[in-house]
Amino acid sequence: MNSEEHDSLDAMSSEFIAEIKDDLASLEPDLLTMEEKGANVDDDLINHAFRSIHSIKGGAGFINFKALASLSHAMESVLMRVREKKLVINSEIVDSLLSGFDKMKLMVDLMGTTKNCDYEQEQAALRKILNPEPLKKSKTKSPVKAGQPKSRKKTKKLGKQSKKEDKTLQVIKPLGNSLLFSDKLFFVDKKRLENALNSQKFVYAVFIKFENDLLDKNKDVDSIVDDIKSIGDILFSDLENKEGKNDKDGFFCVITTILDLPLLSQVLEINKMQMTLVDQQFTDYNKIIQGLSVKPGVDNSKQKSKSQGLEPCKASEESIKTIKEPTISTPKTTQTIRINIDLISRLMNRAGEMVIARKQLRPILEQYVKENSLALKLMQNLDMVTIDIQEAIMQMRMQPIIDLMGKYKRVVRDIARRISKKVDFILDGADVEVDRNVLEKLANPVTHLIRNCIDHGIESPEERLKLSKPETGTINIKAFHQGGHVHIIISDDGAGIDPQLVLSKAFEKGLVSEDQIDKFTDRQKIDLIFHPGFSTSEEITDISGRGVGMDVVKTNIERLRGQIEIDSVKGEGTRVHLIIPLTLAIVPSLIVSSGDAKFAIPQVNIKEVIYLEPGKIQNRVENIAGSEVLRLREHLLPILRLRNVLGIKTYIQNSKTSKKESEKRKAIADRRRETNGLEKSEKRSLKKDRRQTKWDTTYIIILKLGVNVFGLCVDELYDIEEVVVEPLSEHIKHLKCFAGTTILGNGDVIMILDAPGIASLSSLRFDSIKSEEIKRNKLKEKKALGKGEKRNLIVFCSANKEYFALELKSVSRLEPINPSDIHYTGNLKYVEYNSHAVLLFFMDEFLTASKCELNDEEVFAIFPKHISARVGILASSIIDTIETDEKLNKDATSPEYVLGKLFIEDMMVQVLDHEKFVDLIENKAAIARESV
Amino acid sequence: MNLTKFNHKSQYVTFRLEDNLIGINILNIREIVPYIKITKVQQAPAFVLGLINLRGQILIVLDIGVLLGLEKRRIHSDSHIIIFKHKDVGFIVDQIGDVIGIDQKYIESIPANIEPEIQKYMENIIDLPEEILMILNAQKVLLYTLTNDEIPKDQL
Repeated sequence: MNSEEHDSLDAMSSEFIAEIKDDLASLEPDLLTMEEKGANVDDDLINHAFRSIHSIKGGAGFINFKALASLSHAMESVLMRVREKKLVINSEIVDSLLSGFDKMKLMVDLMGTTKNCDYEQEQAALRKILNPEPLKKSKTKSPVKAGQPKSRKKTKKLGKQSKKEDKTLQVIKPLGNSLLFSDKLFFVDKKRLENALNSQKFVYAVFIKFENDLLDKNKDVDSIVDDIKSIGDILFSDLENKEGKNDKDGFFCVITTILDLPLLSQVLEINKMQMTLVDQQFTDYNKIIQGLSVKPGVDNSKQKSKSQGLEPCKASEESIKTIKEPTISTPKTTQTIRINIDLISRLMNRAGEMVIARKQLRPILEQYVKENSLALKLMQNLDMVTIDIQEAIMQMRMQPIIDLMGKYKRVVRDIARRISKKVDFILDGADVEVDRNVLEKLANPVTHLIRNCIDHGIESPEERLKLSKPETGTINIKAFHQGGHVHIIISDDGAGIDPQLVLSKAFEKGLVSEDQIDKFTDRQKIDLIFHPGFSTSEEITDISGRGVGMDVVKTNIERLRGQIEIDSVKGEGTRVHLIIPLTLAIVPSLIVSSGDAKFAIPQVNIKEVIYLEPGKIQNRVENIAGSEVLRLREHLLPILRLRNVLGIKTYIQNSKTSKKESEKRKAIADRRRETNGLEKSEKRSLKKDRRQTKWDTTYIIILKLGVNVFGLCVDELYDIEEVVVEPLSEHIKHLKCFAGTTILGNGDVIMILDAPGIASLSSLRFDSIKSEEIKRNKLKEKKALGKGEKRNLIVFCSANKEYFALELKSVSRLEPINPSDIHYTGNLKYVEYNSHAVLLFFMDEFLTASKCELNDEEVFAIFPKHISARVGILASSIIDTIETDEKLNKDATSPEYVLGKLFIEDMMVQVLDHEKFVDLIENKAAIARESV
Repeated sequence: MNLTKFNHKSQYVTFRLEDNLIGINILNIREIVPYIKITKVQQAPAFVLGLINLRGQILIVLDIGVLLGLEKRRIHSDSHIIIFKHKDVGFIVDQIGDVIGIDQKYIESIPANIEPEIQKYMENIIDLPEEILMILNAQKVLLYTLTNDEIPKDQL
């Protein structure tokens, strides 16, 4: 690739390059599927690949990218052979095609740079496939040697046309000891052959070398053909296939003549070694069908049969049609256009801005509602349109997961081949869509997990057979949507993880102490592989074993605000479950404030929120060596004060002087002590005012970091908002405590807090084994004793006396609603919340429950978490929240969405399965929307 | 000096930080907006004033005065924010002055006794009839305030 070849590289060619890249991207999966299907590869697939490579060639030609054009030409030729059924796809061919593909990709990537790409090797490999005969005529002078290179390929003749053709064609398989002709098959017209044999003619297969036989003797192809015709007849030649190709050093033909071999050699001035008598070496066509290599093109047979006045057989015609058509047909048209991602980002920003503008316009418009009823309509219309636009733009950023996962097919294939394991790769849910950014960030962790599967998981074929498992291992990736998240499950049927081995390795490496060993459950032992520096691999291979793996995977997934879980059964396989948010761009967050600064905390990081009432602070917060801990359900949690972590200056309103004084107390627990020191009168006045000043109450947000938990004290809680995350400006990118910035509904810019960043900023050191783990163990013990899991339930009443319960953690909020505030469209109920229209359903609208009706009494809306749409459920009353560890009664009559029944006081409560419940609601909401 | 004849002259947006008259090449400036509510960023370097929402876009606002060894800016009615052209970065100034065109011949080099820490942000000095105009190099301001080594790609 010379630099001058890029002279034409201008603005226009960038379009072509983009197209070439697209074509390349679509080529790889095709090639891999071809390999998979082998001989059974279908025409569509080949045609698709062929079209891709053809348009690459075209594009490359257009921008004068010679290297790419010529390499793609070589690949195209191979695919052409495949398409014409002259070649059967096997791993070697796909290897060559893939390496050609890789080189093309490299070329495109290097385009515009001065780097050159040597593609000789790839091209040579492709040529070898095309023509198993010698490629470089000048290198081998000896005609015998020249005939040596052989390809091992056995081409299967496919399709119907072959079966019909056997009536008109006869196969000749030369048996001569000359290597030149071994594995060669020639197709000749049966009638002509029979005629020749009947007239006692000899039949020879002859190889004519362009250089030695023609050029050196001042002959050309026509003259040799004339020579032959003067002494006999040509039944077959593969000259047409080679015409115009300088790199071919000769062609084969089958001739009939009455001359004997030495004489023929003399007449034609061709070495005897290049010809062989094939008189009696006819093979029955049908037998050959199973394994032949070179034969005339379909066109050939057609022409011949026509010229012979034979009735062209129908099947043959048809197959010709199907093969020919795709070349003419245009690439399939898609309903997509290419949009710059920056433009989409800008659109999204603007849409956000529009939402804000609408919000500001609202109070102004509201003044006119009474005067002009049109104003209300306009307002609602504007609401709908803006929300719709925002959602549509969000969807523009979505990409199907196949865009990423498709690549793994290749990764799996390559790695498996390298370490000689047999692995199948199955992808389920290819069309699941994820935000582009998320997809990009998934690439690394998922690659690592797949590598692990192949390297550590799947055993070698011999081992697998010994274990009476199928020789070929399977890696299964399953992707699906659930509850506003994307779930990706990567499973293999390999060796699984041995918890004991993990534990002993972890102990060896000093990751766990001796006294901890006995306390681990199997699950916890497996979770140890997430520890930094952990590796079970005995040796470091180029694939894995450096022990940085799972730790990084976990960090990456958590950075995506996702979760990772591993299940493994020793000897049976491993299952890695990733739960990833649909988008990074919009994050439901809790808005809090500390001092006069507001912050957003992503909801995924929040486990719960504790409200400490005045007077109770001292009972629950302890001060241990200057650090505060919170007593929470028999456990001590470290707590941090946001203002201390971030160094926010806070002020306290002095009730007497109403002057702002800077808050000096460093810890909540100090409060009482300070007031103790005050004069009696002042103390009373302060006490009286305490209820009004926000310093009396404290909210502790319990944040979770994997299994670790800590509390963050903030001054005020606001609402949960869906914030659009903007990246941090470069100047503040290094600040660990923030995950990004966002603009609130009122136009304020606020920072989004990053839970791991805050923990590391305040140097929290988690002894991850303790508190939380012990708690888990206890739960397990309880389970073993026939007790159920500990649940915090919110019990509500639907209709009259029907009780349901949801887990508290899966409810985002409750809202009392006055029936007069409910708006109707058709039979759908809406309520306005935060200037959004929120759809409301009764329980009986989407699951089996008693009929619900609205009367004048106040009702409650329950908003479940992890629901993508704005939907709430109406309950006639909220009974209570309860904490219970009673075992749920599950019987056959319980529907799928019910976890089980509980008896609490006099009520029979159906405890709902959150995920299934949410699915039901989402389905219902989707149907409702469609019907509108 | 003829301030009205702009041909073949560099034009500078001038502003004041305290009493200092400072200029920046107009080609580096996108726009000038009156003070908008700034959200503080905790833990940020002292020269970072905070973030603003400019028509839906989040911009970071610097306090160039801090870089030049002045006191932190106090916000008042004359405060303006000048936004750089090629980056989502702005800086706050105490007062906006005129746009002036200056002939190359009036441009003086930076006096040697100015602290190197401050000198590195400066391009040159212009001796106006009434006072001294300090010309800042926008590119360097952006470059040196970034904590990482990234060099702004755009030619400012």
